[in-house]
Amino acid sequence: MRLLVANRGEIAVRIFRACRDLGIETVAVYSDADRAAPHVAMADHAVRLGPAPARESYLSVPALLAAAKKSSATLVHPGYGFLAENAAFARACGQAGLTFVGPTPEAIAAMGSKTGSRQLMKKAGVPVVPGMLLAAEGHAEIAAFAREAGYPILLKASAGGGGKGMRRVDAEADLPAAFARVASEAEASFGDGALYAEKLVERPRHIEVQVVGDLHGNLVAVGERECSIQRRHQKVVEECPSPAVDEALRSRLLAAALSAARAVQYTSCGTVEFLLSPDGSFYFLEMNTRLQVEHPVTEEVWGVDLAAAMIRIALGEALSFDPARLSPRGHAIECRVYAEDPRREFAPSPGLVAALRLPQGPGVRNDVGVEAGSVVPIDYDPLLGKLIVHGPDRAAAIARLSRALLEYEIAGVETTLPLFRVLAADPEFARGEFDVQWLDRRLAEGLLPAETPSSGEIWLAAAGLIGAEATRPEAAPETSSLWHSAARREALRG
Amino acid sequence: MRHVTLILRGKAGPEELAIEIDGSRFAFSRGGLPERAEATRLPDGRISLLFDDGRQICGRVRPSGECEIEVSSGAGCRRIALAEPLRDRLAHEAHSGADGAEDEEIRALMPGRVVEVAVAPGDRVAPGGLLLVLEAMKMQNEIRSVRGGTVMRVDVEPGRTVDRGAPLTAIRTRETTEV
Repeated sequence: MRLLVANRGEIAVRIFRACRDLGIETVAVYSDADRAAPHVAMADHAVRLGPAPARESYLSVPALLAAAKKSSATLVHPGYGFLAENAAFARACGQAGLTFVGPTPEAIAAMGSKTGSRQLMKKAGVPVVPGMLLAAEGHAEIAAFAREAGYPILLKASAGGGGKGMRRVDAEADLPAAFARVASEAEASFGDGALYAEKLVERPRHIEVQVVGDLHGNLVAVGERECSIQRRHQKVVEECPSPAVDEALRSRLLAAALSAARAVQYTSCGTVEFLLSPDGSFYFLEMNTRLQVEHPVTEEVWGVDLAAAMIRIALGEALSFDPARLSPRGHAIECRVYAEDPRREFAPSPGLVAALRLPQGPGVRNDVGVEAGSVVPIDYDPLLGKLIVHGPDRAAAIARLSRALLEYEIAGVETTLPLFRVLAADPEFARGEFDVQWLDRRLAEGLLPAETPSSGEIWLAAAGLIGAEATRPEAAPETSSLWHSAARREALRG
Repeated sequence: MRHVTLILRGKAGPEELAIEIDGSRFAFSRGGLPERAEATRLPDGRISLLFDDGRQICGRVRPSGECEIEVSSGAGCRRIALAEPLRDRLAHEAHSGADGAEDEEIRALMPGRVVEVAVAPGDRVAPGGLLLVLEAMKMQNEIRSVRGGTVMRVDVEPGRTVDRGAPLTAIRTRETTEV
């Protein structure tokens, strides 16, 4: 048996590991930017897709189907992003005789339309945020909705997801410009400029429920995840369980998630996302019909392998675990390590990973798609990897996060690690007092302190610059200075 | 035993660091009492400093800009503006080059010995043109005009030992009549 991962980076690495656990051969695909990427080097087979741009490689359905044929793959896993929630791709795989590791094209399509899924959820009795049930013809239609529901509203791309194609609008005067902007973003990102609007729930938390269904009618919910630490609607830190969810709320959330998944006869790993209002009410946000980036926190706490479960389900096996008989253990936190500069508005920081030292030890897991010497291409999502910590309780998990961050070294590219160092020491974060806008507010207030190097760091820099340190006997002799000077410098005799 | 001066540019402006090196032993001072440490290069390229009071710090050090060093350690990755005095001066002058200053006064940023004087008063110098060569820190450092102009005066001759801050030469970068 042979499984092709139609993806790259850390998620391709993660799925290959699941394949190896299951005794399934692995097939990597790659663009010209990724020939030397770790996911290719670890695979049993590899097929070139095309040039670096995603449209000509990881988003090219013909290239992916040809790669599956060429490598004699029988299973195709889409990962997340790229074609993971593309019903046409899932259908094309089926038509080509390949087993798509994911839900049915019908379930993807039903949940892929934000407006269609809202109507479906209303019918299934799942609470939804007051909003338009159909895409708007123009901004005037949205203005009419907003006059009734009241500002602020959230303008959303019907085909959107992953936090892209969304904008808060506070007043009618801002609507025409915002409409044009989001429509063009949606057109560029999703190939569909259709927009709708919903009432903005102020200061909500983002809570999501992991669901797993199989082809035999089993459908279970595997706890919730807390994903409120977001920057501009993009998740940055995720946890399991949520510090804001008690048993009573959990059972209501899980029941709603199961209703949502049942409405589309869901038969894979998926995630039902909710907005949790401070008053305890919650609303269906969307369902992600794929393996989620943050699936490891659920795996750590519940002791399940979601990536492997997804493959086994696609092969027709019955669900091998029942959450009712599992005991969730402790608390897990995931940090998304992006090649972005938190001190420069999170500008992408592609380039050479000059050094990479990953933290280890009890309760530490790294799902990483780069290694020392890797070049982070400009063409794709800047996620380098995920640091996942697990501890007996939330405080212990945070302590382990601080410890792991002290060991984590990436040189050459800027990353979001400085942000996590600050968060791990933040009292509000420690108390679990946050909502989806919390991080943006704190960043605007200057959450990241000015970089003042310690005297130890200054002396390290000085020692490196001067380069007179002792070299360990077993190490090869090196040039005495790290500084490559363009100016004329001549060491004098004596 | 070697003595090295480096210029650290923090928020409070430039600061002089005095470093004494004896084999792998360093004595670092920032104005006050020196901190003494032994430096070892680890097999993976990082540097470990072991201070005499028992503190140990380890990190990777790489040049990340003209006068900038990147240090990555357990505390994170930091860019530290640190350079040899002459390099620091050249970079700093270049940065303030657009402020309309008319004279470029060149001073010795560390004690040293003049080994070559390449210009004479009245000479026209192109931007980046060589002015003189100063030996310091067992290195020969070319001192070049940043903006170019006319040499107004030369204060030193080859073989002269100069103190830190001693004037070396001055360049008029713009004719006063043009103003």
